[in-house]
Amino acid sequence: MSESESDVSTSDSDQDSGEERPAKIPRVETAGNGEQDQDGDSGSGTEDDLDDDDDVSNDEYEEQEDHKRTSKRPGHDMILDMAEVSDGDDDYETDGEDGIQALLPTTDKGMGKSRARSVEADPSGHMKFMQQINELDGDKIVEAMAKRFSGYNAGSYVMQDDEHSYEIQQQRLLPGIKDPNLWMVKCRIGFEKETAFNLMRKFVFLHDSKPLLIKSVIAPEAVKGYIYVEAYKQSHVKQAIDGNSNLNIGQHNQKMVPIQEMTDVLKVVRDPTVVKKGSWVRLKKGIYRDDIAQVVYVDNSQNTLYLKLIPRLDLKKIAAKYDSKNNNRPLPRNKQFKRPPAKLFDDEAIEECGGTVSNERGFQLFEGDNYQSGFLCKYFPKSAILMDGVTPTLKELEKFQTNPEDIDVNLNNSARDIKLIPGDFVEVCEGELKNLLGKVTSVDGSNVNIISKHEELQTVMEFPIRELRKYFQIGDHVKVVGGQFMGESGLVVRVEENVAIIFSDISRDEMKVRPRDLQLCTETSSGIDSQGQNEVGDLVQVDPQTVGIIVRIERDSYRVLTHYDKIQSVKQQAVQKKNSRRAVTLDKNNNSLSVKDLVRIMDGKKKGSQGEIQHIFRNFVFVKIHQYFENAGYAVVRSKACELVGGQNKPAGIIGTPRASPRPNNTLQSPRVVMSSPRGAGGYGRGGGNFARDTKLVGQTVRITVGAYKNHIGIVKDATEALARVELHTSPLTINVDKTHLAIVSDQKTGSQTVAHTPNLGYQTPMHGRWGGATPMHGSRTPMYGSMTPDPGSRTPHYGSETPLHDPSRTPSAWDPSIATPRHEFSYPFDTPMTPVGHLSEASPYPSHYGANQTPLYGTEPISPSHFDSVTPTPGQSVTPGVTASRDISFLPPETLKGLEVQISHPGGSLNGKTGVILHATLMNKATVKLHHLRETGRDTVDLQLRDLELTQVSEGDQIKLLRDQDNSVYKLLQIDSDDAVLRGQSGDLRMVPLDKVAKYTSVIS
Amino acid sequence: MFYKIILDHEILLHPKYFGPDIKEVMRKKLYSEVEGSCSGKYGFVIAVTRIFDNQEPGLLQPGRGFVVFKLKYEAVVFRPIKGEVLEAIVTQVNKVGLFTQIGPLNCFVSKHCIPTEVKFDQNTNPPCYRNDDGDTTIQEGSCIRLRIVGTRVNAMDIFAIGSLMEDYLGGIS
Repeated sequence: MSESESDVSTSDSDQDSGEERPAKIPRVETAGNGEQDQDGDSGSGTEDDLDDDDDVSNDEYEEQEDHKRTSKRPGHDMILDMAEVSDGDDDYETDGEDGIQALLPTTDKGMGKSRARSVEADPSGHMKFMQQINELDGDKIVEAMAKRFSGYNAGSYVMQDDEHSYEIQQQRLLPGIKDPNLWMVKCRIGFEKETAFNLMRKFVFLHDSKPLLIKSVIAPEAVKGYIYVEAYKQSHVKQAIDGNSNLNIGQHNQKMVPIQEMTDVLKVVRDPTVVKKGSWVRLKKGIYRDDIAQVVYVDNSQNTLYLKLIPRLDLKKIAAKYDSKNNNRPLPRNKQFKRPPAKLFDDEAIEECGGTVSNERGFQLFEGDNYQSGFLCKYFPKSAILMDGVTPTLKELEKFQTNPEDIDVNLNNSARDIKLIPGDFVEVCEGELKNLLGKVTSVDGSNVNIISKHEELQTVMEFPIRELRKYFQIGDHVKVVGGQFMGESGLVVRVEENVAIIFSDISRDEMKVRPRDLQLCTETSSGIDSQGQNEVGDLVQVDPQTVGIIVRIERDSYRVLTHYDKIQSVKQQAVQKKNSRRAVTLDKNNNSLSVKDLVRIMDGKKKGSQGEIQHIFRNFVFVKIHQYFENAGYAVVRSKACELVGGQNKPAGIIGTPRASPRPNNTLQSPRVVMSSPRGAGGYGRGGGNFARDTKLVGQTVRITVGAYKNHIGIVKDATEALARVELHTSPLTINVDKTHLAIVSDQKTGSQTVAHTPNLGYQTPMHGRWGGATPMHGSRTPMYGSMTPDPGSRTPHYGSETPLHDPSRTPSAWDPSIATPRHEFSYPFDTPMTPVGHLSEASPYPSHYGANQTPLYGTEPISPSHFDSVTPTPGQSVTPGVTASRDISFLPPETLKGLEVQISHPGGSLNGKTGVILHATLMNKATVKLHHLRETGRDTVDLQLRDLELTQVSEGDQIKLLRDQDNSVYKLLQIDSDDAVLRGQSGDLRMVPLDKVAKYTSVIS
Repeated sequence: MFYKIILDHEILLHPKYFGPDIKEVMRKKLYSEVEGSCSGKYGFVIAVTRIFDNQEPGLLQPGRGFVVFKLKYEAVVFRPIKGEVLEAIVTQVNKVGLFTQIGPLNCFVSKHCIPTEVKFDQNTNPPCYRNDDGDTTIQEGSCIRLRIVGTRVNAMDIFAIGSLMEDYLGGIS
């Protein structure tokens, strides 16, 4: 509401002020009845002393002026800079009393000594000029001033010295002697603003008739009990404030504000104590002394706080009071004052005591006090409140029923929590430089020096740490240094008032973090937990039934994607790392899957996406999908919902169909051998050449001719151009032997040897039989594994060859100690498509095949190296058509075979294709079969080799027995669902088992 | 932004290639090793445009027989710059935002960087972001124009986040 001000810079106003000068100068002198006495006196003294020194010519001024403009400008500038710096400092350090030292282009007699302070620092002669001005009389001053400032407006000065113009202009705006003065008028506290408006109305109202001569009225926010009136004369002020009741106390005495302090009036002085809505305070006086209270509203003009606290109502007293009203008894005097306990307001209790509680605007009113949800809400004067350093105890907080998050937010601004380091970008969040951006240059306790980013304010400034806030921009790469997500890094996608949203690098989802917990950084987080034990992507055991993959590491917990496809939060200590490197499972098309294989997901939510297998657990695979961003890109799928990329598409249901078309297993392996070779090369150090596994040798029985193992006989497990890995017959040892040191036990002999071993050992003890039969298979299967691991380094062919051996899912056909032991190994903890028999069916061709070929006892053809050739097939070539005995039973425990329906598969035999029921099976791999169609065959029972028997296909409604099942119970096949059979037990329970694990059963009386 | 810059690359060659067409082998090897690769410093190598001829002789690796050739080549590289406006193809849409591809570069547009009137609609198939008028629909496969607001640069990888919070950004036909 300021009125027109005279502008010293314009020649017009110069003229004006010139006219007014006579009036003004005396006024300045007379004004010295307050603090200004000294200044005023000294000012007038100066003028008097130097009054006669008016012989200084104008030329001289010009000379000095020119001189100053050209050479001394920088020095002058420095003063200005200093002034600004001190400006900034003063804002925060002083209460405004000794604020900035205004550097005034014009002079003022009243400035006197205080101005001398700045004169001391003025090497430029500017002050000298000023002093000379002082020595002149009024007219000359006007003249000199006009000259001095004439260039300012024309813009020529700006042209000359562009970089300093702004500061000069700013400086010029400061009040001087020609300007009206500010008068401080006492006012009723709390009515400052109102009074100011009153005066404005008065001014407007009297404008035409008897105008007020004041220029403006100022009621600064922070000033209590005073208003400022701008006028040339005190009498003008008196005229203006006359009759205003709010200003009664100031009617007689008005203080003039010294010119150099005038700027301070309009400076925003901040309350040093930071009381904000929601902060905690304690009361100093009354019955609520030391009680905690929460600030609901801050009324600065009234100097009060609206607090929320727990009331201390004395119910007895209230009861007595209302009693006395009724009974006209005097109040019992409470001699010993006892503070009533703090208790939440209870309107029922009050009403019981006879008081009345009324409801109004959501408050409950009782005896003039407002209560809300049990709390007393009341205005308290600031003077009665302790505001600094109040921290509520947990107990107190509990009473206030605030949740810890809110408190956290409240404590957010306390200085100790914010850590700034040099280089941080900060934003000033309080004070007059709010929103200023800067970079921290140094931190000194709770004060921080920042260099501003503002283009016109590139200076180092000091701020208390609480006024600063870390500043981040969208796109910054940051690290979280505190809070829940500590240790993560990511990109800022959004910055809000008190929260930044970060797109995490590792988990690839968003998190909300307070800016103070962030720090700019370039490196991405490793995703390793604080102990360095687990990292994102590790497979962990959550509980005995559950495993999962870590998708995010939090401060002391992991977020784990369990194999049930659920996200679970687990304590870091509660998990155990699990290794699944060697786990293998089967995909939809019965290709075996192992870690690091690429699969395509064919079913479920992520259908169509492609990813790399990270872990395998039973028949669940954990896949990392690069296009998938939730859960750090990890997903869990059933292995049957996956398809190996590049794998062969085997028709579904092949498992369930015995003697289906030639099994493509081997054909599949051939390209893999080739694929695996370059990788194997690295492992075996064979160079980049075309390494070919010497598959002819694999499976051969050899005699070592040289060295410590001379004359030992073993089976070649694996062979390269130069070396062979030989598993010794005599000791459980596999050694590398130079091929030149091997002598192949002759083919015939091999055959007989195998025969010698296989049938006797093998067929008598099924376990050995399997072993013998299975051996070559490993040789041939080996490459597949090698090739399936895209990582060349981690798997050497040798490794690959061993893998299946130890893989539980492959046990039935693999040499595994667990297999050699009693039968219980077949009771797998899970009944899933990848259970042993599932593999069996796949693996079985080999044993049967070899069994048939290698053992002259039942021999149909002699074994020869060429036989192995057929095992290392070329793509598309079928191995041994017709021998795919996927439902072969020769390796099943004989005692479990009883009652199973079989088909005789004896090519060329008269009984070929006939079906029957096994009555009895011996360890000698012989079985007595009762044939179904007696008429046709004319025979009731026949004794047959187990290898000549196959399980018949099951169909819906059949009686079913589980192969290799302990309980021997009989089920009914309800339904066939692709590869699985739905069974109902005798007790009515339903089970689902792979089709190849079941066999048709007919009860037989033995 | 695309740049045409001169880069170096070392090629390790097996002795069996030492023959009359060694240069051809080297050229092919360079193409296969370099094109499509990404370095944090230079960005994605899009195409090799020229291979400088004045090759230094290769260096035989002791004990291995392999020879290291240092090749100097000129290539077109794609280096995303903060603030750059690019066109992208949406590869995934979910409630978090849009995942897009700008050629070889993966770029994420958070929902916070999508104008508020363009909302995520889960019920459509495929899910999309669209505004109430329905004139803007961003779904998988859509082409959008975005501004890159931040990049995360690793040694071998660049990742960007984008924004649609500006005029003329968003779906383009």
